[in-house]
This record gives sequence, structure tokens and C-alpha cells, in this order.
Amino acid sequence: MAASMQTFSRVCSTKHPIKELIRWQITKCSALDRHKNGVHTSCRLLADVIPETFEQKTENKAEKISKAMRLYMERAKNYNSMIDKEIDEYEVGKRHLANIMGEDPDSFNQDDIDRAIKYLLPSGLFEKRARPQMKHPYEVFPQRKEALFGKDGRPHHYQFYTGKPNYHGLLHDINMKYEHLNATETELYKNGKMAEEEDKKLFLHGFQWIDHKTLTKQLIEEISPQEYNRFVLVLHRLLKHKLSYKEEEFLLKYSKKVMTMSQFRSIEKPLIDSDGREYSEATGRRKTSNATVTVYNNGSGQISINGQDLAYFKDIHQREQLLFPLQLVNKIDKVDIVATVEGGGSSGQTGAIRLALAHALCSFVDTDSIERLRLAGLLTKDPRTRERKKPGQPGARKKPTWLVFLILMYCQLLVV
Amino acid sequence: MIKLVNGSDPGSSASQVFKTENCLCSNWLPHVRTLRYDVNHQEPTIDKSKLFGTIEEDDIRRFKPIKAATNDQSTSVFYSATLEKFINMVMKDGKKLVARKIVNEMLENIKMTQVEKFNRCENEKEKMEIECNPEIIFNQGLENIKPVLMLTPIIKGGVSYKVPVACPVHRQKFLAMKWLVESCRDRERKIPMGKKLAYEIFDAYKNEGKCVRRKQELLRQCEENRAFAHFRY
Repeated sequence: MAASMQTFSRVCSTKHPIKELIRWQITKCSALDRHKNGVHTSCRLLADVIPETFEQKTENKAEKISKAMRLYMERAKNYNSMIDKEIDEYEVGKRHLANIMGEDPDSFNQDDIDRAIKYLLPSGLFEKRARPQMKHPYEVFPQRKEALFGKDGRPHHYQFYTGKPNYHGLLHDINMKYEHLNATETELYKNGKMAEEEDKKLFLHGFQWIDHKTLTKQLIEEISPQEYNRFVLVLHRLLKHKLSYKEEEFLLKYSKKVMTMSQFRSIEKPLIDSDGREYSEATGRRKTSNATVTVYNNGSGQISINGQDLAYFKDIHQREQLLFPLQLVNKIDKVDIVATVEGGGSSGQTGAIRLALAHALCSFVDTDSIERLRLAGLLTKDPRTRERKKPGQPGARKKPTWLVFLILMYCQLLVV
Repeated sequence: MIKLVNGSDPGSSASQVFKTENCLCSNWLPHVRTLRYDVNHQEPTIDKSKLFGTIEEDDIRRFKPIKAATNDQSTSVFYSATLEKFINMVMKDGKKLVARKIVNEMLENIKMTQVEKFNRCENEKEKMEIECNPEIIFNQGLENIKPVLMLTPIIKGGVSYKVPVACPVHRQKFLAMKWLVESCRDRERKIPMGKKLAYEIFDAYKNEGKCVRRKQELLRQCEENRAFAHFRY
């Protein structure tokens, strides 16, 4: 329903103030109605039904409901007509835009519109929502529900009085399906046909339930996080049922496919040297160190870091770190490595070379090995850096002794 | 927070139909003020057998980014997660090299003592029973120090009671290592730390010594406060 009914009185002529109060009952309506012919639509309607005498103000309930219903229908009709008008304008505007851009109006879609607007009306505004845009009216104007009750004031939806009929109706549907599946299961057990259903269990691999926002949009109702949690619980319960494959279509409506992380990675092909040797290059960073590693295929395990051997790193554990990716993909004595690294300390340099090495090795191994490298955390850049020192403290986290700290805070307050 | 049967949390930003079996602690976040990683990042898998084993189609790690492996982790035969944690606890002022040296000395001392015992032993049967692997002795000693129960303060009616409560696994590990290191730091300064640790571990391995006594003291207190056990609920 568009808005809650609020009456506020506006006195027009003060001849008989109380009578006027009744005459000019204005109901709060949406902005769309306000400026039609300069008068509140609802005011005009009410004016027709104003009682002549004070005594007639007691109308019967049915008349009151029908009045409300009429207003409601009017509002709904006005909204629909407004939306239709906007859609027509949008379609016409789209064709005009296509002609301006010199493209075919029939095959001009939303992406083309965005491109055209960006070209014709370039904007440097940081807030993307403030930039000029042309979208379909359904995306601009908030979606409204259809008429929720009939002329007699009787609601159409059986869950209307919950306040969120679509949400509660949906939960009810899911639970009804669950009950139905339970009944089916009992029947099958009775007839001894449960064994046939053993292999048909439904697993939604690589799917995830629709998120909160999508559900709100779909149901056109405000869904709280707790209500969303409940929805997911109930859906999940239905999925876990033995016979859930019967409701696959319904369940897929509320799930969306997720991409595996491995799909985001493109397979880099190795380059070929002037000597005809396959090699691949990669860079890696850790803290303030930068490393560039070149891995030559079909080698004998020679490692060179800034011109030196593995002995460049004095600590055994750091040397072990360099061998970590090689050991995982079984290439310890099978490739030659040439690495240059600068900046940072020994530990940072180790991390940088390790990352670069892992990335470079991806060109020479199969997808399973790449996935293993990824799962072992070798293909992720370590984002940890030194935390900055804050003013008023001797270090990043270290604070002065409590009393000194208190005094310091007090002084800062005074300054501010 | 509502939790689904298979461990995934519907309140999280992406509620899922995945298995979270291989996550370290699926719903436990470390208590730090800021995390450099996004909440979505999963812990890396360092165990080689698990990496080369079957990872299911709907495993959560396939769909989420993975944190970078630290500079201490590797899939080599010499890597032990418990030992790395212990090295961190022995470490002071960020001096990792020193801490690592101390722990290596401890392992070396354990090995030397056991090998000596092994060589001196004449009885074949007894010889077979002497454990020479220092890591196994360390792990077993640590197990003997781990307390099963601990006391937590619970305020009821304005009074703070010490209530005996089941000690969670990560807390057990932490307490055992902490007591070990503390008891060694209290001892004579002239003896090198590696040696002191070795002595303590040997005592713990035989269920004697300072650390085990400390654990038994705690369990005794828990037994005394048994009456308050129902305050937990």
C-alpha cells in the first residue's frame, strides 16, 4: 500500500470552522498525485462524499472501506499510467539516441545506451550514481506491488495480515513442499520403493543461495537479516531432504552459480629464448622487496640469485622456502632459475622470490598442479606490511604509561 | 548466530551449500584489531597428503581466495606446525633466528640423550622401546602437560566464581607451551635454554616435573570447585 493514511486539517474559510475541518480532510498521498491539475486528487474525491450535516459523519464501515479502496485503485491506476508513459518515453528516446549515434535503432540495447551517454555527456563526477544515465523505468522507479485487496476490502493474498505476505507465503510454500516430500517418502517406504530413490539425491555443486538484496528485490518487501537467515535455513532443509530432486526447479530459482577461483586464472604460455629454450618470467613482491624470476624449462636445478648461488641466503629455512613451490610440483632438479631481487630484508626477499617463482612455474605445469599451488597459498601476494606509527604513541601499538597517556589525551582534547 | 548443519554460517555475506570441513576453525576469527586479509580468504593447506588427496567439487576452498603461506610454512618433511608455534612462543623481541636455534638445540639434546641410552642398553627388548625421534618425545611431553579442564571466572549475583570448564583444544596447546617456556625461564640462567627445555620435556614425557605438577594443580582446583560446574549453563 502506498502510504499510511494520515489526516491533517486545513481550514479554508472560517465561517464554520468545525464544518470546514470535516470538509477539507486531506489524506497524505504520493508525490505523483499531488500536482495533477493543481489539486489533491483525494481532496476532490472526498469533497463528493462530504456529509452536509454534522450528524451524518457516522458512515457505515462498508462505505468507508469502499472509499479507501477507490482511492487505492486510483493511486494504483495513476502509477501504472505513469510507468507506461515513462516506458514509452524511454523507448522513443532510445531510438533517438541510436539515430544520433548513427547506429541501428532496433538493435540498440542498454550497453549501447550507456556507451552513448558516456560519450555525449562525459562527466568527471566521482559518485557514479550522480552521473547522467538513462535506464529503463523499472530500474529507476521503485517497484510496487499490484492491488493487494479487492473492491470489498478483502485482501487477495492469504498472508496479507502478516505485513509481508510474499515473504511469509514463500516460507509457507517451502514448508508445504517439505511436508509433501515427507508424505511421499512415507508412501515409498510403505510400497518398498525407497531403494530406487537412493541414487537420485540432489547436490547443488558450485551453487550458492541468492543473497539478501536479491531476495528483497524479488519479493518487493523489506527483509531483515534475521528473516533472511530463516529463509536460508528453511531452503537448506528442503535441499537436504532425500527426495529433494523433485523440487530441483524450485530450488534453482533461489540459487545462483558461483565461479571457481581457478576459472579466473588465464593459462600463460611459455616464451622461447634465442637459444630455443622455453622460459617464463614473473615478478613477486613481499613487504618492500621486488623480485623478478626467470624459469627455464628442461634444466638441471641450477639456481642463481643476484649472481650468487642459493648460498645468497644464509638461513636454511629461507633456502627451504625457495624450494617449497618446486617441491610441490616436482620440479626441483628439472628447471633452471635466474632471480634478481632488491629491497627489503632477507625474509622479505625470500617471500618475493617464492611468489615470483610460483607464478613462473604455472606456465610449465598442468591445471591440477596450479590448483595445488593456489591451495597451498603460494600464488597469493602476502598483503602484510609494517604498521605505521601513530601520533601520541611511541610505536604502532605501544602506548605510553597509563597516566602519561591520560594526560596526553586530555591535552589533545584541549587543543581541539 | 544461526548455524547450518554442515557448519557454514547463513548470516555471512555469502551463504553457501559448501563443506567447510578443511577450514582450521570455520567460525573462529583471530582476535586482532584489523585483518590484512578479507573475511573471505581461507587458510592455506600445507599438508601434502591432503593436497594430493581428493578435494571435493563443492569444497569451499575452490570458490574462495586463499591466504598466502607464511615464511615458516612448507610442505617439506621437516616442517611441523607444533614446533613452529613453539618457536614463536620461545621467541623474544622478534628474534626468530635465536628462537629457532634454541628449539633446534632442544631437539638435538633430546636426540643425543636418547641415542646414548640406546647405545648403552644391552637388553634387546628394552632397546626397541627407546624412542629416539625427538619430535615424538616433544609431542608426547606436550600432551602430558595439556590440561583437560580450566577455571573461568563467572559472575553470578555480584560474586565472581571460578568455574571448571572444558579446556578448548587451542587453549590447551597454548597453556602447555606457555607453562613449558615459563618454567624454563625461571630456572638457572647459566644453563642454556635449549638444555633446560630438553630437561623439562623429558620430565613431562615421564609425567613428572614442574609443568606436569602445574597441570595437576589446576585439575585439583577444578575438582575443588566442582560444585560451581553448573554455573556454566
